[in-house]
Amino acid sequence: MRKDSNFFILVGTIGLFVCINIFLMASGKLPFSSDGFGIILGAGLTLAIYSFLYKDNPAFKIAENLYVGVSLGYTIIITWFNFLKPDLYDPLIVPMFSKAAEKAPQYALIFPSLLGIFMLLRFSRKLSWLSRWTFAFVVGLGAGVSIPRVISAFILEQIKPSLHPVFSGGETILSSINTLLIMLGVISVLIYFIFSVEHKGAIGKVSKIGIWFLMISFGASFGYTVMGRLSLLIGRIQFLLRDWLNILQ
Amino acid sequence: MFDLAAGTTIETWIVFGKEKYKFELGAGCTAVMGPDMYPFLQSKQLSGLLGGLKGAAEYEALVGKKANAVSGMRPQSVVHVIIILFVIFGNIVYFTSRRARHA
Repeated sequence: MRKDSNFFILVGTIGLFVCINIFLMASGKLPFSSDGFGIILGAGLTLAIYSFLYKDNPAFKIAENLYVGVSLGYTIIITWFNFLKPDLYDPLIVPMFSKAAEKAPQYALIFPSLLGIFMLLRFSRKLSWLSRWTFAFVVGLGAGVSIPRVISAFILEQIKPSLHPVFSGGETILSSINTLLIMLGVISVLIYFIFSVEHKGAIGKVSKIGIWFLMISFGASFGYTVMGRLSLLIGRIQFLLRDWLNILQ
Repeated sequence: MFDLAAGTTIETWIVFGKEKYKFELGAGCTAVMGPDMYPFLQSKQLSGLLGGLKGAAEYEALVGKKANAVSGMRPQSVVHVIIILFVIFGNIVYFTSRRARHA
């Protein structure tokens, strides 16, 4: 009985959606073209995804699986056209097998291509050991290239504003207060994370100031996260009310 | 160079691009990533930052073309005020109930 009611709710909702779209197209609010059908498809998928707020249902499942499939297909196409085709297929494979090719094949690309194929051999029990060569190369190269740059960008460059003099001439009072706040924040938060000393007396008081700085930081992060999630919802509502229903201008 | 990102590419540009080649780098990111990016703005590793819908609305106001982002800030602001009121309400309830428990 309950399954029947769910089925009727689903069919009724889809029927209502179809009726609204027929009305919108008949009244000229939606163009009878690929653009119009694209908007209908977008609105349908948006409503199907949000229908999960009521409960799990077949429309949501279809939209969810469609999303996963489209994302995967998009990734494959991007990988082919942005990486494999310009960096491997065009400079190596085409000149090797085409007599009309103007440029000589770049045989140096065989080495990284083999390393890439070795990585896929993780799926083979007999040959999975070859993938370690690729991982060793990737880890070694990654560490060698990244470590100096990461230390410079994330540590040394970030320390610089903390060491900025409070009064070196030319600053406004506000910027000096800002520098003092940064100094207080950095020191108090660092002291809060020193666990080898008991947080009592002066250390305890400074670490409490550190907690306040951390709480303000978490509050800012939470506010921005709320804003991020809400902007997605606002974007969808704007699409439904403006592009689909033509209620907003 | 301006990077509009929903992932970690801004940090990648800072580490492997800006640090080595010293070019001007600006970025636009989702609001969730915003707090992680502001330290780079302060250290001048980023020349400018559009953080989330607020950053987009500021940009629209700056160039004098108020559109989606500015109109989106109205419901955004209302919801933020509602959340702040709920936080204050929750704290009042918490402290009131704690006082009642200790009394």
